[in-house]
Amino acid sequence: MFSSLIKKGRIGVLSTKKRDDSLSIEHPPLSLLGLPMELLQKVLQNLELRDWLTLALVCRYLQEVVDKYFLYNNVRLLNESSLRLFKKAISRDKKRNLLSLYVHGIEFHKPVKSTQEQTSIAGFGFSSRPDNDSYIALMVEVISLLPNLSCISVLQISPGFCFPEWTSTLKTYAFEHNYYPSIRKLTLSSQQGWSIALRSNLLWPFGLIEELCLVEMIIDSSSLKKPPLLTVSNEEGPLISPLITKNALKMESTVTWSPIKILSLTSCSIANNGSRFLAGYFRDVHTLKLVSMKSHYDVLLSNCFPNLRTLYIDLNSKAFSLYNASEASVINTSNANSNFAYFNSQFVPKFYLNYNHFEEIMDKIPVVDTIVLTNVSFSNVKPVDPEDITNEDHNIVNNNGYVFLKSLQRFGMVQFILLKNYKLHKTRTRDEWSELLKPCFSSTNCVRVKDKDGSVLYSRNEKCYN
Amino acid sequence: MSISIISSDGEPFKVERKVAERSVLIKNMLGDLGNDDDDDDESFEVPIPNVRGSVLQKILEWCEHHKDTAFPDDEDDDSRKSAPVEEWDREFLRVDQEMLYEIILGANYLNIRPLLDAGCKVVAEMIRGKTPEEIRRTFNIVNDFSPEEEAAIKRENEWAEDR
Repeated sequence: MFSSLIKKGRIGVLSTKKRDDSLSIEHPPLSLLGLPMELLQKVLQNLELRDWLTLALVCRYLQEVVDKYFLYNNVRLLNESSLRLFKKAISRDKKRNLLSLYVHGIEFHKPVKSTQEQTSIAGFGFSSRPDNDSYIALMVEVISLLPNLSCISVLQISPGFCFPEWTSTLKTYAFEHNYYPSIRKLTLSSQQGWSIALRSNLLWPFGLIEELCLVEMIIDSSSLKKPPLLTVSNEEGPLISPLITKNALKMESTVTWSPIKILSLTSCSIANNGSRFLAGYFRDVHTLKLVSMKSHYDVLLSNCFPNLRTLYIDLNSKAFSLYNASEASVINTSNANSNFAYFNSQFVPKFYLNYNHFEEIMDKIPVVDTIVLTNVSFSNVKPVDPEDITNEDHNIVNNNGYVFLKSLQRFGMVQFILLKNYKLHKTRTRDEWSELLKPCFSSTNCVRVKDKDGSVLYSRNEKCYN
Repeated sequence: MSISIISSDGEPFKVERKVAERSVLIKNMLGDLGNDDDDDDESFEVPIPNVRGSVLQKILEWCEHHKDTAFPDDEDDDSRKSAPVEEWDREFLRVDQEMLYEIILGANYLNIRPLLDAGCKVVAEMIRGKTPEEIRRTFNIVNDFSPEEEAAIKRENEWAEDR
């Protein structure tokens, strides 16, 4: 990770050589500043923003290290005034200012919508005059000043927010200057309490995106209807320059699709009339991440992506906790073993409690290469074959656990990412993991368990994938 | 089979193979030798030219204590911040700064991830919550900013401050 950070830091468009020399000033070897850069970074990454701000004031050397690898590496702009201050910081003394080269990720929180009257977005190439001091104008300018930017987040978007058509000047700028910002990942989220519909006017300034993450957003039929206004691909590859896009516009009949390869949906809703456009539009998507699903039927979305290879399903989604009071009271009186309140008190994940309700839906997941189950917990779950009625652990949770794991046999690679940090989990030995997960083993499939931080706790047949 | 680890100043340390293998560097070196000889008298010498005897002794003390600890294999680097430093490790790392850096450098060279992580966290804790002047005093750093420059940096980073 460190070496890649260092590499990234040096790919600047301008040479950073001069400043790098000053980074290698001699310090006594056995002192904080004498530690090799890689180790100093390892120390500093344990700290937070507040401490990095302080460190920047300690001495020149620490200021450069902190600016380059921490403060300016991933920038969070919480409101309009931080955006203004940030723009000032990166445009001050332009010739010697290297801060803009350090930025790889930027977050715009609560973007302020344009106060100008909306002109129609149906036309292309007409630009209403941008208000140079508006939030959006500053935002676009800031993005165009950051040549090494790869991740953009526009968070807490309020209803009615959109990028006016003149923001496609970012594209024009890129075309004229013969470089294109390669935004790898774009994240959009709605203001709390709202679900904003995805519209092409939220995507179009960003050009080619590899990964799109939507949080609390809606995809409906209008979201994907006008692909020529988004960055699109066709058989020949992505259409990025404004000229080609204009031609593409004329050829309305030409089949085009989005270049997005990874799509992550967190608490998103897909309006019924939206799903039929998914397959055509997200033709290149190979990885789909379904996080905090609102309805268990959302699992079926995985069938809408023709080239899907990897699917993530969040088992801690609200959708899987069907538990409701009336249901509980009914079962309460009958069998102690299927007593919902009892299982709740045992911290049994609701997913296993309810699995029989959505077993049918889960079985409709297409057979992708890799299935990744996230936010998994096995607290007090011990898979028991429902046929094995003499087993003393025979109950609805354990039976559901068994049936669920068994249904995973059909995937070549099954990965579990646990809900909490491993320190808080019951520690299991290799044999205990094997025993627990046995129902999902096929003769050849790989199974891997990781904790939330990515440490591998268990793996099986791993070799065949490396 | 016993392993004799030789420090940079020529001091040999005889340890169990299991203890030595806490170091991924040594583990990989021994891995090539194979595991098949049952000859208990056989002893391998592993020269470690980068680590002094007193530091190596300290590091091996850690390896001895943790010889049976199951550390998860780290695959991603995201595990960094989460886990707090274990009480025993914290006590173990209560040494003067030079020794602490030497342990960090040694753990890095010998590739002992959990010890390296703990060392880095302990140093980070010496920084956390302090003022710039306190940090300078703690780490013996000379302030090379003029008051104007300091003010300029504060202005420059104002966007990041919590308001």
